[in-house]
Amino acid sequence: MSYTQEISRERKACFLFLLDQSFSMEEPLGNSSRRKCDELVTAINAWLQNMTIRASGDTGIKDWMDIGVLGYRTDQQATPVIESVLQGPLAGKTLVSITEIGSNPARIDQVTSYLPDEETGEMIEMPAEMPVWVDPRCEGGTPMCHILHHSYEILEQWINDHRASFPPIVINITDGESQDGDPIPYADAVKDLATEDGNVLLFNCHLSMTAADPFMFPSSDEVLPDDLARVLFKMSSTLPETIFKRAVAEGLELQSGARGMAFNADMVALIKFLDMGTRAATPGALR
Amino acid sequence: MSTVQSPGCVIFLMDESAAMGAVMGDVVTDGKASTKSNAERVATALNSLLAQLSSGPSFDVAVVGYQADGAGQVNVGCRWQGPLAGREFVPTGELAASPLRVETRTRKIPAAGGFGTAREEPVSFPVWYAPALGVKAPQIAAFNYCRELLTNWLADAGPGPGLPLVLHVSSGGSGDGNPQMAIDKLMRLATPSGQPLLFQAHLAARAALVTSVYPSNQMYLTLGSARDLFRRASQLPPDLAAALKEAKVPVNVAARGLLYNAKIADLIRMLGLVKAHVKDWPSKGAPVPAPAAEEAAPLAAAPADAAATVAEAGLATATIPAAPADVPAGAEKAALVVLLLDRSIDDPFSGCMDHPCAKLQEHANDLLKQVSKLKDGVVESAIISYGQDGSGQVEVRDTFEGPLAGQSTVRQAELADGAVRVDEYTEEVSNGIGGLISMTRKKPIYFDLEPTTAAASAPGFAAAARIASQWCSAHPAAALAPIVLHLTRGRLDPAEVEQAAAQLQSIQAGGRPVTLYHLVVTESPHKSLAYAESDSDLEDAALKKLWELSSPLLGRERLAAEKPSVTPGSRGIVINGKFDLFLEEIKQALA
Repeated sequence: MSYTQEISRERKACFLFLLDQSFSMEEPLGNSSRRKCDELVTAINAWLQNMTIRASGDTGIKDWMDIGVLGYRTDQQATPVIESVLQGPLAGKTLVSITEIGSNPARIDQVTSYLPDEETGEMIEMPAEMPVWVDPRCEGGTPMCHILHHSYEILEQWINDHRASFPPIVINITDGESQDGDPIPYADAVKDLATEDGNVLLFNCHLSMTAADPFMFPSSDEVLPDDLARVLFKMSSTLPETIFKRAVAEGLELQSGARGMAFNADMVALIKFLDMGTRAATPGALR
Repeated sequence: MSTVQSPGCVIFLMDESAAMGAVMGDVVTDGKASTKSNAERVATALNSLLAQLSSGPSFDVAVVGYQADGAGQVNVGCRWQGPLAGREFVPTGELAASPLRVETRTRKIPAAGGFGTAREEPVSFPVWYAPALGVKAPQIAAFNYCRELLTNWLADAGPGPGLPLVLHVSSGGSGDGNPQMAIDKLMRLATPSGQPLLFQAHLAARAALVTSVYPSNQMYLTLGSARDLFRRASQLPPDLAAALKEAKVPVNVAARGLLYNAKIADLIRMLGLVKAHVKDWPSKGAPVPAPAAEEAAPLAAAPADAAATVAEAGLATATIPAAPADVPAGAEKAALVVLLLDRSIDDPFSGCMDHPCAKLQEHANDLLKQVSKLKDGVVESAIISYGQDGSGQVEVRDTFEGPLAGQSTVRQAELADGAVRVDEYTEEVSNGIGGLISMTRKKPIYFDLEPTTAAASAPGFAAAARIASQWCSAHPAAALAPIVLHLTRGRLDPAEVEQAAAQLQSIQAGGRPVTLYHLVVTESPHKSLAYAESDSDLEDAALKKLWELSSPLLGRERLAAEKPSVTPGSRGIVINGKFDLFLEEIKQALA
């Protein structure tokens, strides 16, 4: 139970992203003019692309990890809709390997990236190409209990096949509270799943419309501003030592007992959260 | 009717020394590192450009190569072969009919995302330039040859030819001494349309080298040959700079036509500038056209910083029907902003830096920075703080400090240079595609005060009322009534603050009330809220009172249509967040 298993072809890692697709994701993200759902899929697509690059070697993309991206929302009858949000050739697949991700983006978008100009301080627009696996969607409510239960079933199966692996990391990104009951017991069930290397890690990131200071990796719920934040805190795993030390080494000011949670996140906080939360289970991370 | 003798000319000056045999190894369309030599790839890029030029309006083009063997035997000259062998300038209209050979090559179209195998299709590829490399690079001889070529061309060019362009592709230094003088002579050649343009494309020997693209200042180039080349490259004319901007290549004012350690993709883009340069030239041999008025290419202004981009983008989409109804016609374009800071915290002596008073001052300084950037109208700012002094009395400060010391109100133009100090900090911002970049930004400091224990707010409000009232007498027809932003941790006695705030009500601002907003940073955790329309989410009586005292958000009807955080019932109060709409109505009213 140590979260030290090196990632390899034989000891694959597993990442499961849970994306809130409720209607409120239509709102703009704090400090941004774009919608939460747009910024979220941008961050996820960029993460998938980075992971593909990181897993690439001389012989192509190494089959080092399994990745699932699930969305949760409700339909007009308030029935929960839980489905893989991967588009294109991978549509409908729950867990796919990084090799499949790398060779099957749904399409390549022409997007604009921004670079600072050292001489003038201007932001220069640069055209960039971005592979897309996930598209934004927002409708209905936030069936968080359902998605957590669904995740439990997926991960239970995966762990059966990968007992020696670094435990799966589940990253839930939401902008509001659960609308199908108290998610804490469901979160606890997910966190009780374990490989020989440790329990499943559940990290939660809350996106905010208000441009407010984000809470990153809090260690106590006393500093948190409201009930939603406290629920997400209870749902979130404590950062294992390997991740904690890495985050501290990267310059984050963390108290011991810090949890894998961000609250009031804007785009910058979300990108950092995804990076930090998944770093320990990427190839070569523990070397 | 006379015909155009020569619309202009372009010389491609090609290094053919051994250094051009380097294999850069940058990634190409099949996703792998290129294994071809720089010479081979440059020739491909040039042949491809010549093929494109061959179908456009005709003008004079020359391909000059230079090399020397191990013994120093110089070989400089035009490199046309096959049907064109021995020619110097060739009209591009003749090229299509007389290539050295036509090859069948394979075009690779990368699979989506660069993953998997590339699609291939055969294309016919005419070749005019096929270099054989020597050893050294006799640049003095090469530039002297170019100058002679140009001088001869000018003699026959006829009236008013376009500006000659020399594009030099090289891989290293000169093999026959410092070419600076030879280059100076070439660049100072007088032609009817000015001095010839000389662009320099220095190729990277390895893909890992950092490329400098169109620098505008040699300070940012490494010492040595990069700076030499900077002196040997012309400034980009406005139309070419505009063409690069259109192609999303970042160029600054006064950028030079210089690539240092260029990758092939950079070179291809620079070669593409030839097309932009000759765009308006008449075709060689065509009737002389009537003189047309020159149109200056408008330069796209780049946004000042990322935050401004977002703000301006927001403004640009807000095409609003005239000014709001409560701005009288013919009003003076003037506004007053009063920032009223509550310095109190629980324990001012704890030494903790992360307290509400510090955060509120950060918000206030940021708002003043935004005010200093307002372009329209006259916006005056006042800063007031209240706290408890050592003797238990309320201490009110109502003037600026530093360069603006003693002034109670300051116009936005003076504000820009009036900070007590300017801090620099690094901020990470989203690059738009899911990554982060670090930006160094400046932060002017106006408020720089220590926290104190709790003090009554009435004297602070009294100072605000006095300044607002004086301003109103001086600006009876102002477009907006004064806006007072009270920055507080929200631990005030509800009855006391209500009475204190009442002092603002007596002020006559052309029949409109003074606007009172609140920006609260709580000392204990509280939910973040912006522009709430009810007090239901506020957790205590003091915060509820502040909500009650807050004026409705100015422009809320308009903003409600654009910002989901605003409703028609929104009040001007933000708790634990940014008051990002503070200047919205001022911009609107003074525009």
